[in-house]
Amino acid sequence: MQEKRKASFFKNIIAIRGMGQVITVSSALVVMCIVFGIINPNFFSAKNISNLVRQVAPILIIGIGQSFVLITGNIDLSIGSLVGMSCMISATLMTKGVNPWVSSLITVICCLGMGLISGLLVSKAKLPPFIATLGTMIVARGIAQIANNNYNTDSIGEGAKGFRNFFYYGRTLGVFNTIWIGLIVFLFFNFILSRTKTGRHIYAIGSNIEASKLSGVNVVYTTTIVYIISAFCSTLVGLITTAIGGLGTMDAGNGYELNAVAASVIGGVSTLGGQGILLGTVVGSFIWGVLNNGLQFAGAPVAIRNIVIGIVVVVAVLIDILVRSGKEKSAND
Amino acid sequence: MEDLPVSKQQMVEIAKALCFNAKILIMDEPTSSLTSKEIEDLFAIINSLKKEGYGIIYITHRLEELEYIADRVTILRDGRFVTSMNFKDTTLPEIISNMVGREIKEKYPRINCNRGKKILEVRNLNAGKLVRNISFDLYEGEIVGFAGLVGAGRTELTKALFGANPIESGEIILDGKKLNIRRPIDAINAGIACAPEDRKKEGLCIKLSIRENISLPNLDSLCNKFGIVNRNKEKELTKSMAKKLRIKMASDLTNAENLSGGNQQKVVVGRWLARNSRVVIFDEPTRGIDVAAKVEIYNLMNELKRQGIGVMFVSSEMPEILGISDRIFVMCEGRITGELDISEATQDKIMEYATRFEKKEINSRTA
Repeated sequence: MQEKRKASFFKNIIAIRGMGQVITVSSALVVMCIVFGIINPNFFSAKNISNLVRQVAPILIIGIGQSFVLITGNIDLSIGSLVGMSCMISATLMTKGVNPWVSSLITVICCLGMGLISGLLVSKAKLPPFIATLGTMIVARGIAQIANNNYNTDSIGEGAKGFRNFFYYGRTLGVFNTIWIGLIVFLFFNFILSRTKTGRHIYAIGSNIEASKLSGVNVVYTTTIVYIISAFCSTLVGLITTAIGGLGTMDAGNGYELNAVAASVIGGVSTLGGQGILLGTVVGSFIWGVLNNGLQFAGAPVAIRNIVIGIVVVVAVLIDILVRSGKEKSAND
Repeated sequence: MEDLPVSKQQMVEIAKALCFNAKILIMDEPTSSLTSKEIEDLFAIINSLKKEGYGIIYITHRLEELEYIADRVTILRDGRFVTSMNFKDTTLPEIISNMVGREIKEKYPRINCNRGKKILEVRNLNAGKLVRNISFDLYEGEIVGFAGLVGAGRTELTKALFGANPIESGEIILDGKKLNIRRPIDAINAGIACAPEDRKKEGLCIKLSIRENISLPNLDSLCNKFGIVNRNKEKELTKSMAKKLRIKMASDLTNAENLSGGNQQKVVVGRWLARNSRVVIFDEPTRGIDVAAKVEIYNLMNELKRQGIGVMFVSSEMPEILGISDRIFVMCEGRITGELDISEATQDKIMEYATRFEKKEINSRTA
């Protein structure tokens, strides 16, 4: 009897659509860890693992935001700039003496507004997502630059110690807060995507927007919501960035949107929409993180790291498109 | 070229053909977008080309044009040659008769029900070029067929009723209540369901599972007030629909694309059965599916009819329209050109109405 229950438990897991890819990349992740561990056994030290997971958390968070947008069949190029905008607005306010939590709230409102604009440009104005978010990307970076008159900010000061601990330096129950934040973000948004009506609508739009409309899905609302979710994730990472450095830097988050795409696509979220689960994005973020951390530990210079990661991004997206088109071709034959 | 009116574009096309020393000119439905004056010009040119010795193959459904230009008439049906005769040796009714006359080999599962009260009243509906001043009624206990040629406007009518195409003017009254339909969700909430013509593009999310497809338009009833989907209810709904419609599938988590055409169509229809629909619109429901599945769709329509749900059935296959419907509306160029009770309906009559294009005043003249 026990055997039967175990077997059907695993069967149910594998039956979840998207799990196949997740299992594949998880195996790749394990292999990678072993390889890096062999090169440098310190890789598996508690200190390194802890740092590693804390480094992965921000990528995981923006990966989740981008995944929501990708599943609807769109893309968000403004993620990196929103991280920068969030970092600069929060830091600038804090250096001007505004309470860190109030600063954070104001930052969230401004950045969500940006997300709303991206969402409306795509859903109502029917701009291609690439163009729409290219626009908001440039505007958001501009806002990041003028927030403190074209300078990086000064230190946000001693009053922000609580803020900095909350988002990065502090620990709760022995685990870094950032890791908890990443976990909570994952659990919350995974619930929305897999258990709610809006989550269903998100997959439906990405799969077939016409059929979704004819099934009564409010495409404008759903498309706008995913951009707002993405903006929220970017804002969060921006606040974490402020907490890390203790100041605002104008080019914070530069290029993050592509890391977010990489994490999503490696994890099985297709750039063509309608497919993928957030657990995959989590694994994808870890692959990115382990590559980065492992290469660092192996002593590779930053340039080599960038090249390797860049290649991985391109290859991952290429494979995704090839596999998807291949499947579609055989389905249509 | 796009700055020219259509008639002049056609002139350019003809000129292009003549430049190539063509001996035979083939024209496919050339007059559909022309005014009567432009048609006169075109016929004058055709007649002069005839005199110069060109051979012209003129393809049309507009039978009233034949008297101005046709010397011989060849009729094709279902990809096969039927007959060829001199125009002056035949009559329009004989031509129509040759255009139809598909042998009705299959017996259709017709049931008889008493007609109940009026469900749907459409008054003077206008929605673009292909839905012009449409008025009709739909009653409980009947299947209303919509026949016509491709491009007659039947699909556009269903889209307008379902809120997928914008309505310019007119009224839609359901169970005595006037409806304001601007988007599909309005139609859905009012109780109108639609199985669209192109099931792969508009009816299903082909890469999602059967379960997700069936639940998509039913999520409101499957969720609690926070929008959280009750997974058990979802499983139950899918199971009961699959059982009711005998959908053959390995599991309800199979992707819709792995089903046969007939089973896909059942999923499309099954999505709406869980809602209390008052009207179900079927647009070409049996296209591309096997005979056994076709019969199941007919039985489904009969079942809805028996339950007092209004059924609108659009089809280009005349035998099945004649086999299943109780009343038939024929459309041509966006207007309803005829209404037939099943007792008096024949393929000839349907084709006659289907080719009743708007009369354009044409005076024949020489170039």
